[in-house]
Amino acid sequence: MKIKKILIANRGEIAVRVIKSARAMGIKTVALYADDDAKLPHVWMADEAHCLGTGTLKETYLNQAKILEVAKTTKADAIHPGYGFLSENAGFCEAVEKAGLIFIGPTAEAIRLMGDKIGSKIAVEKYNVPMIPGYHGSNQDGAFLSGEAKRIGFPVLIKASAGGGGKGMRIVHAESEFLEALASAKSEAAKAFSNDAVLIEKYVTEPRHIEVQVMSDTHGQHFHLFERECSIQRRYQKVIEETPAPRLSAETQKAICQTAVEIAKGINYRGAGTVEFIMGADQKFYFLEMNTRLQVEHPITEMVTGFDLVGLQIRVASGEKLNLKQGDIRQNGHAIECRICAEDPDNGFLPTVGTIKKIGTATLKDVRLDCGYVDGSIVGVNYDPMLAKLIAWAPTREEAINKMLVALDEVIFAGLKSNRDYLRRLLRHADFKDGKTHTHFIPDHAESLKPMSADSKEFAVHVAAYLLAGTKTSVASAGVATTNPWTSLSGLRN
Amino acid sequence: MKRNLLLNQTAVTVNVSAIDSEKVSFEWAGSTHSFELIQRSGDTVVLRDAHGVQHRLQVTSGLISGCGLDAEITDATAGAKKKAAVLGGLNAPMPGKVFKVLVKTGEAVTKGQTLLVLEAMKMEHAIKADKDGKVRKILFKEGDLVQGGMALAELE
Repeated sequence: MKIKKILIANRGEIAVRVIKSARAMGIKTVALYADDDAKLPHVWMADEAHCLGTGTLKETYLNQAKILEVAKTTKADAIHPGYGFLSENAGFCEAVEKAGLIFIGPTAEAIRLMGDKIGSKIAVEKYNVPMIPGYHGSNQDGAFLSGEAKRIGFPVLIKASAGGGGKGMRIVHAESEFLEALASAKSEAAKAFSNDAVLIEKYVTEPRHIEVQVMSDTHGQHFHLFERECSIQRRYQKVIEETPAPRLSAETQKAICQTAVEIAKGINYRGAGTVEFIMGADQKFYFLEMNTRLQVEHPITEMVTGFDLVGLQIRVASGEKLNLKQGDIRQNGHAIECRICAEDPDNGFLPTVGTIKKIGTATLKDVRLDCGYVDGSIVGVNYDPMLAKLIAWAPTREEAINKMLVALDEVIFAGLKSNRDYLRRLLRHADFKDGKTHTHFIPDHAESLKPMSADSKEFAVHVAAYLLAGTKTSVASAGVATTNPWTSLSGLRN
Repeated sequence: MKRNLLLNQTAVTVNVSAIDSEKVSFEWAGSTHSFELIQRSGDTVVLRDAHGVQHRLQVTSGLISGCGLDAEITDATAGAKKKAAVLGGLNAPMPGKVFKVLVKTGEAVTKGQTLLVLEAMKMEHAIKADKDGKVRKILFKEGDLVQGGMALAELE
């Protein structure tokens, strides 16, 4: 069925992103917004916008009944959930389909299967997927789990089986610490997910987070769009992502991508998905989980492959058979994404709030800014602190890093503290330049990632700029919407 | 002429020896620097140093960005209050909701002990005692919404 109107059950940059692809395909869009988001660009960029009122997330962006009601009154024929919010909610997927609408995403069955950390491992094990040594069973007895940990070999990782975002996660180095760590992981898991079941795994040292983008249509075709390296993380959340992954042999790349396709094929997946792996220093990789949605970092894949992933999602959802062969999908050049967040990296990555007085503009070719805010937007406490994603493409990794450094200089977010300066420190770090990425990069390099002292000679030019021009521009540039979000997709290569 | 500035929340002093609308000379980090303003277009300024090297920066309401670095600069007099309000020991670091109150009025506490837990931006932030003492007052109860910078508790 041809989709004519898509309701976007999300906000901010990802809603803007979906609007752009839909518009390019001649499809109308319906935006949703909570009262405090009324002035965000996703609201005025869509063809229609409907208010979800005020209140907690449960009453607004997670309010399934209200969202379905808007879909009905606006005669939308499909719903795109974006990422986060309802994107991995099997119940919502079912409700959408029950209402006679298309859910732009996988089946409820696939969401449910992959959403369960224990169930997903059992399900994919049969497709010859390498598994990290561990215990994923239902026996939750402390003494039994302690025995399993000993069998696996320390250090081990305890993880909440329903978890995410690092909640209910503990690293245990010795048997004597095990029971105490288990108890605290379980209590945290119970609080966060109303489910205290945990799994135990071998803890991989210097691990890298490498994931593979897959795309499946409803005609039995399953493709991969290569890997992404997302090892630079803080609080178990990604900060910098890139593709291709540095230091990855052609052989390993082929194997990891093929494994992801086998999983998609095995579970008869539909739409866009991401299979996450953990990789050790020995290039051995193990299945971690599958995210059954579009990822935040999908733009880097678009930059190196030239495909519009949201466009593909929509085509698959309308039942189209993708006219593609795996060999048609090529990885060209190198792309990096930086997540610009309202946070203070030099104060425990504590989120910051405020009004964005001015968003800078990137001037170099093949730089893309995916942003859900404009000058004058207010960043509050109710939503994720990510302000925007800055993406740079170049023929080589070194050039992409250099281009990103220029772009970070240009794309300022004046008015509130952000992590831009910290992102530049990461990109300039010798170990990052050498491609020595692993998930403990940020804590391990805390000392060498510290900010420049305020009286360093490097700031002389900034002081001069302040003395000569600083005080005069402060009023003129505040609060005027000068950023044109329509231009920000111009870096998308075809 | 001495200028007291707040650079990335740190008080610094600059000795300005000469300044007009296009040129400035000052002492900074142990040496003398001279810059000339040679271009200005919107928020972008281009400065040229004594060696002829040109530096491109963006200057926007307190944020000076460029040359690979961000500097938030304001005059120290204007910024000093703000800093105190944001970084004060028992103040809310950002707007949020009081999630838990862990101590009672009159209770003896030790430095570093968590007094309250604030929930903001989907995360929990511990508000810790900045010294040994006794709780004089807890200014909010669980569930209360607070603004960034507000005092949450008083110690004696």
